[in-house]
Amino acid sequence: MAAETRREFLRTTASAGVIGLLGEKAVLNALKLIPPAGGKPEVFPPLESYYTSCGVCHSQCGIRVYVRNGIIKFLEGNPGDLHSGGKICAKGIAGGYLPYAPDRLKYPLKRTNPEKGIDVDPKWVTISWDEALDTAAGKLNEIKEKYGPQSIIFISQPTSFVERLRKALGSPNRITHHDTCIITHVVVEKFTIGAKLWIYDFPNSKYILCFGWDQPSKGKVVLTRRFSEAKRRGAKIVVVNPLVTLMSSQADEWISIVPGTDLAFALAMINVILDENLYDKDYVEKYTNFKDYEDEIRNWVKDYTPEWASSITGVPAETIRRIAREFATSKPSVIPIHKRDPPGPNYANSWKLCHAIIILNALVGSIDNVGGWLFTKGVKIPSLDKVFPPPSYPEPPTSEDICGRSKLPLLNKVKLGIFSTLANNILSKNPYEVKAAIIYKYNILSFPNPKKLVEALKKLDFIVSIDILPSEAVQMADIVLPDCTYLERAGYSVRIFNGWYPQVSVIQPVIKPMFDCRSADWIFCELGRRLVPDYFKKQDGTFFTPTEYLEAALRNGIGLSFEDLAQRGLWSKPGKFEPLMTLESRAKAGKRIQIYGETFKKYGYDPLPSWQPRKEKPTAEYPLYLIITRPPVHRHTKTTDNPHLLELYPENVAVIHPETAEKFGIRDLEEVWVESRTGRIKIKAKLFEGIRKDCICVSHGFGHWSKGLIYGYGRGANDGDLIPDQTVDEIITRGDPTGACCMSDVCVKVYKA
Amino acid sequence: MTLEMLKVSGLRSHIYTSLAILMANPANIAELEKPIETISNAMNELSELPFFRPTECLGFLLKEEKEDKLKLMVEYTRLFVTAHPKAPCPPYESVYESEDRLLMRNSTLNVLDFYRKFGLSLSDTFKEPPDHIATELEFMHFLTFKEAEAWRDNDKPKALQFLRAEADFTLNHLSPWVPVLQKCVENHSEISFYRSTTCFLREFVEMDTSFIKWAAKNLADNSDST
Repeated sequence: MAAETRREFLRTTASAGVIGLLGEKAVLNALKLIPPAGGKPEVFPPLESYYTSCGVCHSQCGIRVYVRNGIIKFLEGNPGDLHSGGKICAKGIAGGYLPYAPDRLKYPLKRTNPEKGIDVDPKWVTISWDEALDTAAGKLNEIKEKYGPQSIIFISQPTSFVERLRKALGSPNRITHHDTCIITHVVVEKFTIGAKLWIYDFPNSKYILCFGWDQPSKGKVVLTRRFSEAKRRGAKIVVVNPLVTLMSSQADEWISIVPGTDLAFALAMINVILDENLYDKDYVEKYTNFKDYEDEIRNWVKDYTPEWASSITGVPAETIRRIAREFATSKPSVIPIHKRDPPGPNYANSWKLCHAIIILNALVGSIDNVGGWLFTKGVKIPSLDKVFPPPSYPEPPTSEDICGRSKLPLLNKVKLGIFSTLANNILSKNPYEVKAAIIYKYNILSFPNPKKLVEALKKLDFIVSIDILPSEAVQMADIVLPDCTYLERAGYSVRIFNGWYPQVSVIQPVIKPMFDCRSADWIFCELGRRLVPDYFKKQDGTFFTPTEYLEAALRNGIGLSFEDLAQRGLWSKPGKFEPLMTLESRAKAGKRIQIYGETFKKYGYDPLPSWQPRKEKPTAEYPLYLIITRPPVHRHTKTTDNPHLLELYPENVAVIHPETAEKFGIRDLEEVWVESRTGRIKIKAKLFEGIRKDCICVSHGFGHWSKGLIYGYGRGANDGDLIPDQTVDEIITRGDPTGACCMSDVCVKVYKA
Repeated sequence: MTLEMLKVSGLRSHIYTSLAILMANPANIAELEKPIETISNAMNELSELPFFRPTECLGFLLKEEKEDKLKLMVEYTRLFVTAHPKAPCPPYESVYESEDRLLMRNSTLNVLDFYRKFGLSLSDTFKEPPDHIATELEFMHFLTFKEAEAWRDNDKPKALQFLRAEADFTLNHLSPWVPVLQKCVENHSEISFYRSTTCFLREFVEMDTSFIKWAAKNLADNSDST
């Protein structure tokens, strides 16, 4: 790109005379001649189509992208895909915009203003990739030598390339978001059922009971399309939720409940089902440890009567009793759970609700059964460590990590992490001082109490951010490395959310990366080559590339080259679901569903989900429960800079019951402050009868303060500012093995702005 | 006339390539004085023609002292690439095409078609979309250069063909867009360099457009006057 004194155009055409006349001149070389061998240039190239996978959410639905002139024209679902089934959500369709976002990061950037913080201009300057990578590696190396590898933290999605670099450096600090998302499900399912289950056989369910499970309202195609089939086939849908959502509108019955008390409802259901012996005896005796602990279990649940639960949940005892009976006798019945629903990490008792729901599903025999909750049939694609085995990783100087995950033994056994303790521990240097951070695919706004994290990040000497848009994390960075979008990179996706049978969907670059963006895998390899070269080499001593890994992994995993998979879009190994087959083989190996949590007991946790109230309750100062939901057309903070999606859903609002609004003197669409003990947000009030009078609901994903985001900046407010962060000691004292963040366990007040 | 047109098109070609360099990221440009010097010399010679008068903005540009490179790079990044707050003047034509300020829209495809018609594609090293201001300016450099070649070869029909292409490209792309970009830079730039550069850019595109219109009409009408 350098303006060299070359004569690109002259070379093919010039005669001495013309050069003499025009003289030597500098040319930018933005354009080049198409080689004559290329034939006549095509002025109207045809529409081409490529298979790939959507990258807006983790479902990674199979899609087909249509491209003309190297520019994406439109995209649609891939009909053969287990996730999308040919359907695609609004977020997925609008994803075609991302590569062309005018505000996307285009070149590596270096900060020239040492001051950091909200509203501080980093005074960026574009630099070359070599300078950016050398600077980043040099600084990280300096910090590692001076303070030890534990002083470098990875606030990054743990891809195999990220993990290779982290482990090779010897840092114990893998900071991931799961305590704000799914940690209760993963830990509790792992230590009761034995695995995390993702699939629901909704089309064969006759009764679907949802404790705040609201996926169709979130536009999750993968779950919605099968749920819709259940609805078409006449399944009864019962929704327990303090808010009327799209799901509630599809339900046969909507039950309003005090937020964070679903555990009492579920315990009373267990009480009725056991008391009236409505459970599936054969199933329970064969596949669970119920028989071994029957006395303890019956004794534990005997006081949790519907009348008791009614006083906590606000739901009439008769309703709870009836729902328990219907659930146990309308088989196949199932209670689905997914991410941030009440059994997700929303409340202090969420992990127990998760356990209680597993018990309920087991009592009616719905786990691994027709119309129930199924094990994923995955595909084994060899990991990076299998394809290119590393030299043995160095032992980190300490096993303690900055989040305190190492103090939570069960959480430590699953490869998930905590956001909620990070800011506190950086600021208090507990257990040590952090000096540098590598931030990839995470944004500051997703943290509870994100403003505290900003203060914590200010203490660091050096931050590298790998991102697509100029997010809040980017604004705190010293070096910014521009990542490719999912439409510009290569990879594969395994269908875990709907793995009825093994299937792999290709991720291929449907267009050349815009500007000078490079894939994150390439970026981590380049950092690795500079920092810990031995760990980024093949056995022959040469460096490996992400492409080489991909090729070898696919050939070994599914016997296809990347090119073959790219042509086909999908690789599948269709098979029929055999009910109870997995539980049968597990039972033969002596592994049964732990209704009575033997593992929990072993580690000092409650073996049965005894009643535990939520952390915060309304007080005179903070009289309202906060509920948080997500709009159907946005994916967290990731899409709230997308003008097409903002046209559909331009900003979040505080949903409040008209009577409550009147009490606080608030009118529809008036600006209000919503305030918790952690912070306050300014947001428009929206009056709505479909919410409990003691609640206020805010959608997540808005409130960007990065002024680099041309559409997202300044829209709505960030619910995270209301959510307290926490300490590891608080988690331990609470007796929670999962490290849940308690994202909605917050009470607030509301007043005119 | 032919010799004169050869000289005129050659000088215009020089100015377009110099402007392309000045409007590219200075991080990748070795010397910025050179293109300014080229513009100065070329404008001196061109000013014999009534279309190309030495203007105030040219004066500003020539007076630009050697700006601190880092300062220039920071300002280029802030104005055109990534900034906090947002980069105010993305240097892509499509951004000014509609209120949505999107990339890779109709104008991008139109300029790409233009490039293709003339056997050109984007170089692999220049990582910008086809409608980056520097790319469009380099395309004008190409067209004027090819025009010069045709005059050199006494191939008047071919020269007129390129002249018409210049008219077509500038009337559809540079003329409508450059003033908007210039206004944006004038309003938002914190240093004078890019104000002076885009100011001259706007003036030169205006002058050159008048010249192209005149030449395309008059030279075609007087086909035997050469």
